[in-house]
Amino acid sequence: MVELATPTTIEELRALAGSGRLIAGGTDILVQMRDGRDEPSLIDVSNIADGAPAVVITAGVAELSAMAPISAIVSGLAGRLPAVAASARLFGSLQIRNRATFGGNLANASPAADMVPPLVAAAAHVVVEGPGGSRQVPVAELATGPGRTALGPDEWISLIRVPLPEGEDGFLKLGGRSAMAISIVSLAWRWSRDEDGALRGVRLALGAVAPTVVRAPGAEAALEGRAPSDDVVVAAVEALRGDIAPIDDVRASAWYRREVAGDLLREALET
Amino acid sequence: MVIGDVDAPTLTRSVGRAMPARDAVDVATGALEFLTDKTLPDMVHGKIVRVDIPHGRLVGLDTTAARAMPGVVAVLTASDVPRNIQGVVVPDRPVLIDGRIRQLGDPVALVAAETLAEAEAAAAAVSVELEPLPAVSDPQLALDPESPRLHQGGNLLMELHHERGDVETALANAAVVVDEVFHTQAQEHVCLEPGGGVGVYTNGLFTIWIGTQYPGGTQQDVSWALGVEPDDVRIISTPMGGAFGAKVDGPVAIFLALLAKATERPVRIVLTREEVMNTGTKRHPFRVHTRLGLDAEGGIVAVATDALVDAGPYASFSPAVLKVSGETSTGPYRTETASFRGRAVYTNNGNGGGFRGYGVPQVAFAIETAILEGARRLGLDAVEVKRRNMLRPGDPHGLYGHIVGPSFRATEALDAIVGHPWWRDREEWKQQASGPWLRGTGIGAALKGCGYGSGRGDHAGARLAIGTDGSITIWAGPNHSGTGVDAAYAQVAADTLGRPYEDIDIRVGDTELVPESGSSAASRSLYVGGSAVMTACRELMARIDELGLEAPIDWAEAGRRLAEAGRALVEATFVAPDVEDLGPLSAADVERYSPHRVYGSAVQVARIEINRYTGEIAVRGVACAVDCGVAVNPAGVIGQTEGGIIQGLGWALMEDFKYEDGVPQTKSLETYLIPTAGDIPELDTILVESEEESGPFGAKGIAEVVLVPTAPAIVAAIHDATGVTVDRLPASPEAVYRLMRESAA
Repeated sequence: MVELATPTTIEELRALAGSGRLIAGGTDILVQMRDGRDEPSLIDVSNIADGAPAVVITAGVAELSAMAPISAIVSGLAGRLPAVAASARLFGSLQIRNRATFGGNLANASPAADMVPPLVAAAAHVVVEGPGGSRQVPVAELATGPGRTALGPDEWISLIRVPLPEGEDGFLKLGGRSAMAISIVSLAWRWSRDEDGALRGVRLALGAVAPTVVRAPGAEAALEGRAPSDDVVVAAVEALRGDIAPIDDVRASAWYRREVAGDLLREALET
Repeated sequence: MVIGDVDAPTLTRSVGRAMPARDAVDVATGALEFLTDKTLPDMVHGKIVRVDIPHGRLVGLDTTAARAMPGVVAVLTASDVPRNIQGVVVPDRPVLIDGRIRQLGDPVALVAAETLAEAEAAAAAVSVELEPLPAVSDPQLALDPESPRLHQGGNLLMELHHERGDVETALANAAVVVDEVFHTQAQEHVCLEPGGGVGVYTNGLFTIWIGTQYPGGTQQDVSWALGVEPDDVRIISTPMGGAFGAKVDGPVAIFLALLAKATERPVRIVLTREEVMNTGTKRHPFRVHTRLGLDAEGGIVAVATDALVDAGPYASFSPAVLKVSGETSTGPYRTETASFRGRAVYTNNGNGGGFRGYGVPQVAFAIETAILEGARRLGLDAVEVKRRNMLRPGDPHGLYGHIVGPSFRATEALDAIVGHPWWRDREEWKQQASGPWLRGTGIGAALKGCGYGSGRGDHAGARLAIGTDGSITIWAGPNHSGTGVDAAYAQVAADTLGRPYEDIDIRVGDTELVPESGSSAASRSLYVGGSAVMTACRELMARIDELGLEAPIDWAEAGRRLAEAGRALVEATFVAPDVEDLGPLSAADVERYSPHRVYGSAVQVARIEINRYTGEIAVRGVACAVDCGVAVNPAGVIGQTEGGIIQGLGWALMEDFKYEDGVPQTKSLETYLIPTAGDIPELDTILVESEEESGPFGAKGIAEVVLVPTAPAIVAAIHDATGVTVDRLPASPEAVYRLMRESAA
């Protein structure tokens, strides 16, 4: 038996927080429960009426609701975060995007979570609510391992604050098919180009190559301040392969993940 | 598009028109009740207790706790099965395990309870003590005498061997010999409706509603295991949510009968997706060693094929699959010299069984890819090599030498594809590639026999009743397993009787009413079953003729007068003719190899894009020319072709049922990927028609062959785009990436 609470206001959620596992779209947790995961108590946040609007744009920052369906966020963004939009396009299927939320994808803490790399590359923060009020956590620090986060048992994610890009950003996903596939590797990037073509403010984030979504400091350093000439690209690709620690699983080998992650960076730089 | 040499006047009022499936609206609106949704009053729910190791022994089984659970009505074990052995070809599989475990998920007990939740709880409470044995997971190692033996007779389930001419001498004299090993993987059918059904036992009679491609075979299975007469078992088997070979054999009908009898209540079992994935049959993985000899002009001088087939734990249809592999190992090509050695081997992996294509896709991938490589070495165009060797009507078959029947149109199908814009304009299309995407185009070809083959007594029946109001009801043979063959039966009947399509009521899939007709399999339903319908209709017309009625026929009067004479019910049987000209084959060979008189063929062009950075493949277009005889229902042929291409595309690029030491690694649709709408390219079907004299209105069966050329065409397109040759399926991004890296190094 599973107990299900269905708060309709933030206040009700605040009163219930900690008494069960939060569920929004349920697109992952319900599948896991069918597979035997024990969750005696669920708190469904998908009926909360007084949460934040899907998207609010203020002074260079997009504030995204953690509880709105991904499809609502993408339409609300109207193209303002290209990497997020690109990732959302490849996230599950339309039906899943109509249910699943940013908050769920973040709190689920899958190393392969598709919405997370663009947020890490963007230096986004989440707003975490709890009994002691709210706090802000960098997205890069939210997940601490597969399925584990820095959230307390009575905390929840309310908002994601994403700085709007000043230069270029993008997202590439490699899966076993064109939709509805868990990533083999994913790559998100942000950078600007100065007048002589040198890349500035390079931030790279990769999915499915480490226990959490990770930055690629070696590759970032290899690109920072340099125009992506052939030599620079080769050095960055090699550095990126050293930045990550992928594993073998049923979807791909560690070898392929490590090698192709470098080629994804090459694709991002060359096309 | 339709091309061919069929005279226009043979196209009649119904045959040749595109008809929707007769249940299409009900399927689309959700009105159709599938058998696994069926509910009866007082029904209990059955659950199967399964083991979680791939190999071992059952040393202890305690059902005491389960029997005491709330709602439990019955718990059955092996000792409750009157004849605890089954198997369609070889009886090698217990209904419920009484000792040896050979597959993860083997059933040890059955539970029936008031609710499904209670049945699941009780199943979990059955205490099972297992003694694991090392798993036999590699077919080559399985043949090692030191390996554990899965069955008393050893791990070699079957060996098939045939040689025509002197292969070694011919290869020694060839201008080039391609000597390559190809590997193919297990494929899951992924029927939308998993297995299951409902069973009832009343007054000594069993009625079982279950999706089966062979109601008569399921009736035999149940009557054998329960120790009752076949007439005591009625199987009702439509509608069905997909089959593809997954629903020809299997124990669920026996489980339903056992539980229905034990509980004396209706019982329902619905398999979960995980149960089907773990324990259902799969397309056999093959290791194919091909030696192809070509002369300097690209003529095939010899083909030697050695196939090692992973049959899994039980025989299922492996021996029959192996025969079909042998027969198609030379592809749709002429040669005077060929050999085939096939070995099907028991392992603890997935159970190889019937799957659309039935042993053809594996050997077709090998011969097609070997031709690609041979042409490259000779500096010839692979498509030209295929054309110059293509089998024509009246040619001796490459391996067996029997004469290929007159309706064969592989050359015309190849010509149609060579003339298709996707082939004709391939260089221009390739030049327009942009971004990370490389482009390539390739062609694949295949043939497959229609029906069970010679020496098998392949036949179907039909029962026709004319009512006193002139109405026509026909209980027709191989049932509708999702193919819509019942529409084609009605078309054949309408035109044989000269009546409107709407006048014909077709009933299928019920052993009480439909005469024994074999399975909906082997590309035979319309070819054999449609011929039986036609035979019954002709017999009715002969009887009406004898009444001396004036045209136009008053059907009600005909019905009344035939009823008065006791002649209103017609029973007919059609026996598919065997190969007419055996060539060098002996009568014993006919039984051993079951060669076909009638072949369908298909040729496809695939245009693909490959991401040069990642190895990802996007198929942009597949066109198929299908040598289908007369297309009785063109919409049905196109539907089959498109579905076949998609299933073939999945096998070529992503579907890969993996095992590690006999344990399934891809047991859900999260890790076992099949194509989604996003992976399906533009599709184009060209009907290449001819008149098959032994088929109804000239029809042949094509539902399997349309799947086969897709993988070879994609592999040829990969070669065109990148220069690499895929010798192992699937051509996953990782596999293609690895080949491209090796080629660059």
